[in-house]
Amino acid sequence: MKKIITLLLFTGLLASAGAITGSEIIEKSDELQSFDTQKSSGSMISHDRFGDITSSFISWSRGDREFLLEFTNAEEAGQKVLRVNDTMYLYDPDAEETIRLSGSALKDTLFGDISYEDVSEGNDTLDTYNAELVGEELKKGKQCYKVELTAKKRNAPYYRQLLWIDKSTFVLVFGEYYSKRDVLLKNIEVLGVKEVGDKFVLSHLILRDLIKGDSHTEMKLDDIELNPVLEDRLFTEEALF
Amino acid sequence: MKLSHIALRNIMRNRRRSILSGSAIAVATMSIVLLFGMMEGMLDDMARNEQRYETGMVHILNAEFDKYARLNPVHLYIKNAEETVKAFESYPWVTAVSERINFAGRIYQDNREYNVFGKGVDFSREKDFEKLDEVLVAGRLPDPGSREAVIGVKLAAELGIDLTDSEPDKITILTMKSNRTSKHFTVEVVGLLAYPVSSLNSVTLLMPLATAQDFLLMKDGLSEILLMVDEEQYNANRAAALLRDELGSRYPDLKIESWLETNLIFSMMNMAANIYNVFALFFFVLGSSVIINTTIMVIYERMQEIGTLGAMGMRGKELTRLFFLEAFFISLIGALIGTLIGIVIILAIGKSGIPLGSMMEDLEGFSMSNYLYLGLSIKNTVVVFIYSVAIASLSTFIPSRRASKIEPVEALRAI
Repeated sequence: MKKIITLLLFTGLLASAGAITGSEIIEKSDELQSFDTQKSSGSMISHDRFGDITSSFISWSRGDREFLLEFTNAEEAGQKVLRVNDTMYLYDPDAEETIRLSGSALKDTLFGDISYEDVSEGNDTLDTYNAELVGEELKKGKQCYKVELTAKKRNAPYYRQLLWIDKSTFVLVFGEYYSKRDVLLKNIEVLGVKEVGDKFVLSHLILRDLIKGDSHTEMKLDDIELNPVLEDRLFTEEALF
Repeated sequence: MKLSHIALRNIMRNRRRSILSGSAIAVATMSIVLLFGMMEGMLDDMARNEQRYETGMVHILNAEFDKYARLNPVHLYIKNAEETVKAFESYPWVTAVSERINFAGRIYQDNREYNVFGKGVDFSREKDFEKLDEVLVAGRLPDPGSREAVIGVKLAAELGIDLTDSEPDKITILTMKSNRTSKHFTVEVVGLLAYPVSSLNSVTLLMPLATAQDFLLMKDGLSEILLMVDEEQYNANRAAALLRDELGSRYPDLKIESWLETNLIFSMMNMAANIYNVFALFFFVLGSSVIINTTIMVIYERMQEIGTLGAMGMRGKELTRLFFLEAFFISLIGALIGTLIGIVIILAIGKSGIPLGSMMEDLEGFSMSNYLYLGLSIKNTVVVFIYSVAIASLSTFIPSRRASKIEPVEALRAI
């Protein structure tokens, strides 16, 4: 109820102020999906011509810049991915040191169609992209704002994004990610959204790496806990060991 | 007097001309002997390197692997490896076996990335298969089942590893497991390898097979099995065909190929060797042009003699034979000297090789050593000798025929 009131107030404000802009849509969408801290558990399932692979994980995040994921299935048990600001650390129980990834290495595959940067992207979209509302469309049965994001930083994961955002909830429905040469690299389809308090969490989505071709990777969140108390130490390289 | 005696006398009489023509043939023949020697040495070297380090003489891998090779299909491996290896090595003419797990990896160090081509191997077998004693230049080979590795000298230099300090040199490699998810692990570098193939030195990492199987989730699995066979009994193609016939139905998921079927570059090089015959012909024609030239000049110089011989009753055919015999003797001596010099050069520097410096360093895909070795093939050398004499002799037919058609009166008028 609180969320609906917030949304109503928000849309009312927008109506009174005139037409909504792309930046306002993204800001609202980010705000509805931003939390001080979050803990969740779920699974990733990669489907391709060679079959399916399933991995389970627990993840923790604090703000937009700190993220930790730990695999819990037997094959990957103990492997961790930590993002602090723009640096990614990989930990493996069979390694005596972490691997620090940055720059183009973040585009490498973590799992199926999901790259390291995909799994850790924060909700600070407007820091990295300029947003423009380019239209309104019915997408996947939902009336959506169509927003185009163009990178304003050289290290942005994608040069251009087209996002379809649900007009009524301001939650992402579908996204397309393009390279600088305007090649469609990936798309994302949101199949499930969990409402936790006055926030939304994308709980079931499908990512397709269109360069790889005939493959897609599902990501499901089963348990979501918002604003748990997390130790500062959790998001440090030392805590990985 | 016999024509051959007259021809020999003429050769001795015009010594300077004969030496010039003979030298041209000698240089052309020596060049071709060396060219063939270089090709022979290069192919031998490539074959040895390819068999030792890449494919063996018979290469066995998952039948689907090549189809998806560009996708790094680490999951397409040989299952039930122990039983499979036993079946293949049960043939008495299989002289050596290499069991390998291959993985592409990356080392991140000081904000730089280094590509690695890793191999999990059974060192007790690999030692003989790759002749590791010949390439191990520092340290030792890893212990079985340990988290140790040996790496190429160039990779070691780039990573600042020289094994001289007391601290263990450890590297961490990021790669993919057989379930196609990422994996990284740390190994201690205990030895350095200096392969004759430069490109291997900047990427190679060898570690114990069992450790690789454990890290990459390939228990009782192998990426490939390489076999060496007794060539006195079967050549590689025949051996691969025999194994396909006898074991193909038992292992339908495996692809069994000879290294010649696998290695297109070598097959192309082999085909290219035939093109060298064309180069050889070109060299001979070039060398022979000196003979043609001098023969034409001789004909003009010896108009009086030709006229006299004609007036004395020597027929056109005999004149042609006389000039042909002169050219034949010069070619024979020139080709013999050229062949002998070529053989001496091959024997002198062929085995030690000619250093190619950094030329081969970035030439990936070619299993060529960074030394150019020369190989002596008796068959090729004999063919070059005969070829040389024949082409050089036959090339004098045109001016010789011309000489034969000169009328005695015309020849005497030219005096």
